[in-house]
Amino acid sequence: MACHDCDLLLRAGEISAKRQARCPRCGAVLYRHKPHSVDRTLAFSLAGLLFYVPANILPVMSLSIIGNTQSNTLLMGVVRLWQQGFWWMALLVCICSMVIPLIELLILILISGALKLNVNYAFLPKLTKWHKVISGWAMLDVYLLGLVVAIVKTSDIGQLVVEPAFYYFLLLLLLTLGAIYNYDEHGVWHFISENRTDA
Amino acid sequence: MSMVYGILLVKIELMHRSNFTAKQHALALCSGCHHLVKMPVLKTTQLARCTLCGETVRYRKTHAISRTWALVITGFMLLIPANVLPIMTVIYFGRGDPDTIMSGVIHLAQTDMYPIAILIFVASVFVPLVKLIGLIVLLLVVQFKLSLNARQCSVMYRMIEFIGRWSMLDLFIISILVTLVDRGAITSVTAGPGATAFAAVVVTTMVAVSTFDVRLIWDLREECHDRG
Repeated sequence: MACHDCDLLLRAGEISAKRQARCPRCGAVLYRHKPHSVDRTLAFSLAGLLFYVPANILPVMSLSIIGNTQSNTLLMGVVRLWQQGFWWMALLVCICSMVIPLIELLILILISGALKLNVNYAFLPKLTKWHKVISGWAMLDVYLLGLVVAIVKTSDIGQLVVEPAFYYFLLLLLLTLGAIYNYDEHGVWHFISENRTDA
Repeated sequence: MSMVYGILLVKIELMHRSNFTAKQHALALCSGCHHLVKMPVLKTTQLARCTLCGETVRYRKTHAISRTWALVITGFMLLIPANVLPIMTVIYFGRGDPDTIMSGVIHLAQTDMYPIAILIFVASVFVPLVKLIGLIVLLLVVQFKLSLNARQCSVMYRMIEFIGRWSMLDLFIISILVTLVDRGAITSVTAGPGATAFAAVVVTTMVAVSTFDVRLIWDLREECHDRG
């Protein structure tokens, strides 16, 4: 194998490190030991999917100023921006906080599901590559920080109530992170190369 | 490096005595599946395909330098409207002016919300600038063959890659406030044209990071070895 960051040739057979292996020349993480990767990814992503819909359409928090209450949902934020004419921003927020996280969860479920069933479906290589492309654009963690900032910022202008969907969102985020952490891309490619039918 | 890594590094060092790069052995890493592919001798019009996943395999990312330069320059130009134009207008009981990124941060600091002011300053001003300047440094290193520590350059690249997404923070906050604070004439929050430019900055810089190829910096070292 070769290091993806500095192209140094390495012999893969000798990686016996328990936790992770780094490139000796540039320090890039080449391999991370992930026990029960398939089961854990499948479990985390399925559980995450459960919270996806409530986290997105139920109110995350509501603010009341002089008796007038208004709530915020992830979806409404996007719709409002669109209505104000900022369609490009609305699209970006929608993609990064709603679309990509959903696609990422679905892809992880499909990949780990296929590995669990031990079937080498034709879509596996394609999905694995897609996951690599989109994974950088899922920004639920950044959105959470945004929520926290909004809570602090608005708490002095009115009465702020954190609604249940905030916790659904938190769970969605944690479960997604758990799924991503346990997802082992090298393992998937290993599986694909072992089970090739055309070769 | 902590103690844990120290132990691990000893093990891995055993296999790195070759001191050759994959390219010197006519091997290339597939960008799709990390499969090491033996590169055939090709004419300029031909492309090699990965034997495992079918992706086109190249030694290095195509036109990495010119693409990254183009996106970095675009990012810098977009940074001007993003900072000069208002990103958000907060009207509170009929009063309120459009805020730019910096005036918003100053406003927060004046109302004693220092942690948030620092957070937004880092995410919206510091991170985009660091990213663009860092990429320019990396580009100059490759173009003018500057002898900077390649390992440090790699670490910097990885850091730039990691911090990029956090610039989206301000945009998310706007999208939250827009729905949360909306009572017609009394209190309202509206986005401004600067936000659109800022969103474009975030996207262009993130793409710019992905078009750059750190291996080019390590290649400089090999060139020196070959000559010396």
